[in-house]
Amino acid sequence: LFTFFGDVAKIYRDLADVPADILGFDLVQGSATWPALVKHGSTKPVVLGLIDARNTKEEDPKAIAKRVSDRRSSVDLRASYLAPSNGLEFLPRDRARKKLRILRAAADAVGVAG
Amino acid sequence: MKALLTTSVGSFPKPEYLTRARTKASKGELSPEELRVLEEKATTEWIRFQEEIGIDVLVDGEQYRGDMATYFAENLEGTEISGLVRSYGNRYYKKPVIVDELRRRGPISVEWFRFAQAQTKKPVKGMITGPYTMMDWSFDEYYGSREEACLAFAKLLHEEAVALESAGAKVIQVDEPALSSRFDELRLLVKAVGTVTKGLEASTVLHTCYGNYNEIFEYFNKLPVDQLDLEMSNSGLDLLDRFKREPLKKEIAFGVVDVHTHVIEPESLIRERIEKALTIFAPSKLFIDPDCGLKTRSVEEAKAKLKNMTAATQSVRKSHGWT
Repeated sequence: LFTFFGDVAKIYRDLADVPADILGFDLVQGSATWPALVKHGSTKPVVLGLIDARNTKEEDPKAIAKRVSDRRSSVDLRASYLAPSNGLEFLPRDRARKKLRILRAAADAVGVAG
Repeated sequence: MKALLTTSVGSFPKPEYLTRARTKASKGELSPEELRVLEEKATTEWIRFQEEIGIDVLVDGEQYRGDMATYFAENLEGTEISGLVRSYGNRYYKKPVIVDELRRRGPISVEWFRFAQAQTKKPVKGMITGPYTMMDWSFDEYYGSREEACLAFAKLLHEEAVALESAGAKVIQVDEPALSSRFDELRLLVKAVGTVTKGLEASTVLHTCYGNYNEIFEYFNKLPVDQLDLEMSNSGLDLLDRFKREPLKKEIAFGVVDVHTHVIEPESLIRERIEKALTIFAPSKLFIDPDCGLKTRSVEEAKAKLKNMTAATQSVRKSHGWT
C-alpha cells in the first residue's frame, strides 16, 4: 500500500493492520508522516518516499542515506525500499533520470533496495 | 447605462501561419524580428475581429506567448526553463525552474500592451499571470518555501502592473488558475494578489477557472480586486445558487461559453445563461465573457463562440432596453 500527496500521521498506527505486506509513504509532501515513523517504527517493511518527485531540486544522497540509516533500529531496512515520493511523470525526463540516480546512490549507501 | 459589457479572458488561438512560424523560430530557421512581424499581424487581426463583433473590453490574444507561466518566467532573472513536463492529459509545457533570486529585467508584457492598445480606441486589458500560479507552476530550487517564492513573484508582478498602468492600461487582469489547487494556501494567495494590485488605480480583475469553487467561495469577497472573472458554463452555472445566498460584493465576468468543447453554443443557450446570471447580478456589475482563454480551440471555433456570445449579449441588452 503506497500513500501519497500528503501525510498519514494521524492514521499511521492503524496502517499496520491494513492487509498489505509493505507500506509506502510520500515523505516529501507527506513529511508529517516522518515523525510518526521515527516514533513508532514499523513492523512491516516500508517504502520510504524521500526523493521529491514534484521538484527538480536535487537531494544529497548522503543526507538521504543518513536519514534512512538512522531508522535501522525500528525498521527492517533490508526488507524495505527507498523511492521517489510518488510518480516521476511530472518531472522533465532528464531530471527524472537524475532523481533515479540519486535514489540509487542513496540506497547503495544504506544498503536498502531502491 | 453600462450593462452587460463583453470581454474575453485572454488567449486566442494562433493562426496557422503563426504556429508554423513559431516552430521555425524554435529551430532557428526564422529570426525573432521575422517572428515578431507575424505576431503583430495576428494580434492586429484579433483586435480587428473583437472590434467588428462589438466586444467592449479587448484583449491582445497572447499571440506572442507560449505557456502563460513560462512566458513570464523566461522574461525574469533567476529562472531557467526545463524540458517538457506534463500539464494535464496529453498537454505538456516547459515548466519554469527558480534557480536564483527572482529579479525583473524590465517590462515583460508592456510593449505588447502598448502595441495592442494602439490598434483600438476601446480599452485593452493588461494581462499578468498571477504570483500564486507562477509559484505553483514552477519548480523551486532556490527559495525552499512556497510562500517565499510566491511573494517574490508578487513583488515583481506588482512592478509589472504599475508599468502596465503607466502605459495606459485601464484594466489589469491577474490570472490565477492555480487558485483552487491548495485550499490551505488561500491566505497566501490573497496576500500575494494584494501585493500585485496594491495602489493601482486601474480596475483590477482576477481570473480563475476549473476548480472546486465551493471550497474557495468564502474567499471570493476577500480577493483584493474589483472584479472576479469565473468559468461558469463548464460547471453548469452551479454556483448561481450559492451567489444568491451569499452575494458577491464585486463585479463578475461570467463565462457563458465553454472553451473545452468544440460545440458552438447557439445564441439562444447563451441568452438563457445571461438571463440566469441577471437573476443574481446587477447588469452594471455583470460582464459577459467565455469561461477561459480560447487558445485551445481552432480559430474558427473561437470566432464562432465569440460571435454568438456578443450577439446573445446584444439581444439581451435590447430586450431589457439597455442599448
